[in-house]
Amino acid sequence: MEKVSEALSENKEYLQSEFKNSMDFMMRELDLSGTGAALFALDGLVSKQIITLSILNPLMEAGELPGRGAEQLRHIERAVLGAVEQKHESKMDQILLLLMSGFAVLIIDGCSEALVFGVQGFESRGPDEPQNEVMQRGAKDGFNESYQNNMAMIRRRMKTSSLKFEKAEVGGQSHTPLALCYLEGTVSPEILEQVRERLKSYDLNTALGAGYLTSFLERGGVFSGVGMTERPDVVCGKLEEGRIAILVEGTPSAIIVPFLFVENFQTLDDYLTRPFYGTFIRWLKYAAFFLSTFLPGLYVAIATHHPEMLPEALLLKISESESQTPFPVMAETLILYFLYEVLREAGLRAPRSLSATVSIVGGLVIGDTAVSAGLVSAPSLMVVALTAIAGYAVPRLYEPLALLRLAFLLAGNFLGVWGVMIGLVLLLMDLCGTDSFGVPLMSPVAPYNGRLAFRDVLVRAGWRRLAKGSANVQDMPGSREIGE
Amino acid sequence: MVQTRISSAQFFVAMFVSHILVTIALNAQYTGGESILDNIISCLLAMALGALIALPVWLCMGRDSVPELAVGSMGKLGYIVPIGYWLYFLLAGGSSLALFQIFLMDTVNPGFSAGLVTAAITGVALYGALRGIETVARCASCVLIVLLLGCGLVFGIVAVRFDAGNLEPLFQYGYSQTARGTALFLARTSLFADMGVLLPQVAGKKGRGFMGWMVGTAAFVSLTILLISGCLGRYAYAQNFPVYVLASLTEVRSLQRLDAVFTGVWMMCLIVKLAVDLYACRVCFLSMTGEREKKWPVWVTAALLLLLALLAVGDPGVQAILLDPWALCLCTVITGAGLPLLTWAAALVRGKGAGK
Repeated sequence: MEKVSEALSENKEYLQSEFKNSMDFMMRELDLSGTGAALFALDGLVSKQIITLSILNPLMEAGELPGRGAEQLRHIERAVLGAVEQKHESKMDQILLLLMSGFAVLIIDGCSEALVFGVQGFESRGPDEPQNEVMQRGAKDGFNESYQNNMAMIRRRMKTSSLKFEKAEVGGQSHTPLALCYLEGTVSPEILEQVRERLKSYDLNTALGAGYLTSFLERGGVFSGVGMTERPDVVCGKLEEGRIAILVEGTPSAIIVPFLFVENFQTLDDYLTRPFYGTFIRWLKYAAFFLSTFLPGLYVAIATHHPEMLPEALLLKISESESQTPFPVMAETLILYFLYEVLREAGLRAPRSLSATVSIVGGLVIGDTAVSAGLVSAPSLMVVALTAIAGYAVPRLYEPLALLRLAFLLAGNFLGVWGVMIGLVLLLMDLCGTDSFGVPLMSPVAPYNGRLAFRDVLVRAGWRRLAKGSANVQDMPGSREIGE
Repeated sequence: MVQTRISSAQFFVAMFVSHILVTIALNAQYTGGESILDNIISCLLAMALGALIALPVWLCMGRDSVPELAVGSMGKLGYIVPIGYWLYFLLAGGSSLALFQIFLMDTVNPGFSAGLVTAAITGVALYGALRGIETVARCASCVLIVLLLGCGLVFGIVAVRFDAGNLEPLFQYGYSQTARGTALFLARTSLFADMGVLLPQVAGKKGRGFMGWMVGTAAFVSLTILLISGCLGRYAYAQNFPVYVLASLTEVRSLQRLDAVFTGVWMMCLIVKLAVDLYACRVCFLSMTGEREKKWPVWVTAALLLLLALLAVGDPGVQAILLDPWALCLCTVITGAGLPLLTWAAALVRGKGAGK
């Protein structure tokens, strides 16, 4: 059945057959001045209170309704109902979709159109503090699973009519709604069009989280050109720089595109503290990134192939520790690293009541027993621990770093410091060759732009300087129109 | 193949990084004399001659590269130009790679296969070439930072060992060493050939970039040679790779020897050089095949490059030819000036201008 039939019985029959065996399907039959009508909704998705107050009560109290069919429907719409969000719909597939999105549908006998009402009333989590983007001085509210609530959080912070929320939908079966959020006049129309195109290429049946979409938005590379944030204030900052945010229903985070490599090191706290401290923290994060990526590889490389690089005292300490363990440095570091990752994963997935136990047992077994039993050396343990902690200074990069560490570890073992250097160039090639919607991922460092690099990359300039000149993402050096 | 454009600064930075290899791999055996200091004059002479060699490339400069212009104006006979460039890039790349492997085997003698390192270097260079000139140029600017930091650290630390008494008078062993040094500096730069092939993809003030490259390279090379002479004195003459020895002398409180860092910097520069050359090979192939680019020739080129380097390391005869400064210098002049001049003349005769 493609369209709403004029015969109410046919419509009822069709909807009942579609929702056969679905106990959440609700139908309330009505008599409107002698004309048959029915109100349809899905339990749990709608607010029964709103339905009663804004639809059923006005209809019951309306008295005699003039005309029949379409005329009656128009009268009800104009003069009887008090629902804020209501519209006509004649296509049955749309009606089904709206029902499953928390709308109520009123169909009147003799009318080939239905009246749909936005009466969503499902429970949603409050705007709690984001768990993965903790800020010292920033706001404490974060996105939740309702994209409409998330839109409101952004709108509350940006009271401008240039702020647009464009509706789209992905997922052949799930029909997951999403909102493309941007500032008109600031965003690049080419980038916006490209985002729309890439979303159209989404051909999965479901989109159960924003992560499903990212692989359709990015184009290869070790580091992603697509960012995620749980914070509405961060989204507002990004929108102002010409970026696009995608809010996906059911996901408490927003996707941000284009997303540059340097943005992985930027947090809102950097801008809420004084510039010199912001710069210091920024460099601390750069150092942590290098430490986290290269330390295990360099340690294995130097200990195995270039011990002459180390001062005598340090060399003696390391060789003394190593001589008491049964494994070579590489195997030892690899085992420790795997154990750490297993513990991390277990701590993450274990029920909250058990995660403390996992941490204690892991810490004791690895940190104390393994060393005292002579299975691993203390320097290797220290290197892996330092690497792991440093990785958390740049949490956005944890995923690529976890694998890169392993790659550099192997390179360091087989080709020494040179292997690490070759790996570094390979990584640089990958970074420099990747772009995010036409903007080079490494911009404004490579290609280099001194003004932008000394604004918010190498240093975090003061607000007076940040306020001057454009920081729009489309003005980044090397940016080009997509497809050029 | 999408031919993207890079800025003049990016191109000449990549060329600078590539050319630094000459200094890093400088030794008395190839410069042919005892006085390393004479090589400062050689370097300056090479720069002046280089400016002359590059002239025909400027004549041909337009929308098309020299190989494209050659094929466009001479038809199939013009294939000789891209093939000539390809052969040159193969020789130049093979020579640089072979020199690095010789260094690894003779001086460093690592506990693992040196061939594996050179194979890895070739692999990364190939990856860069396949990603495009933009990728390589951006990577080169990052390598430049590492190069400057690494060299700054090494030079800064060894500078305290500088003794003016170690400096010998210029030309005390005659002028032949200077001439050989000049040939070596010209031989080990593929800038002129790269310019002929890649300049149409470069935007901005190319003349200024070229001047910057000359001044920057001359300053860097002169400083390195001065430090080698001042810190090592006659000892430098006996060394296969004096810059390496210079780095080995470095002693920081926490790190005792920075020779591994020096080798790493050499490798990074080598990767950039090979990547640029392999990308230039892609442009040469494209000029012969038209719009449709096939990737396999560049893969084959990379494999041949590696093979040539391994062959040169294993066979002293091949090594002598491949590392002979005069022979490679001749190739540099032919590809840097000869081929562009021929192309320019052919284009002029056929009335095709310079592809503008």
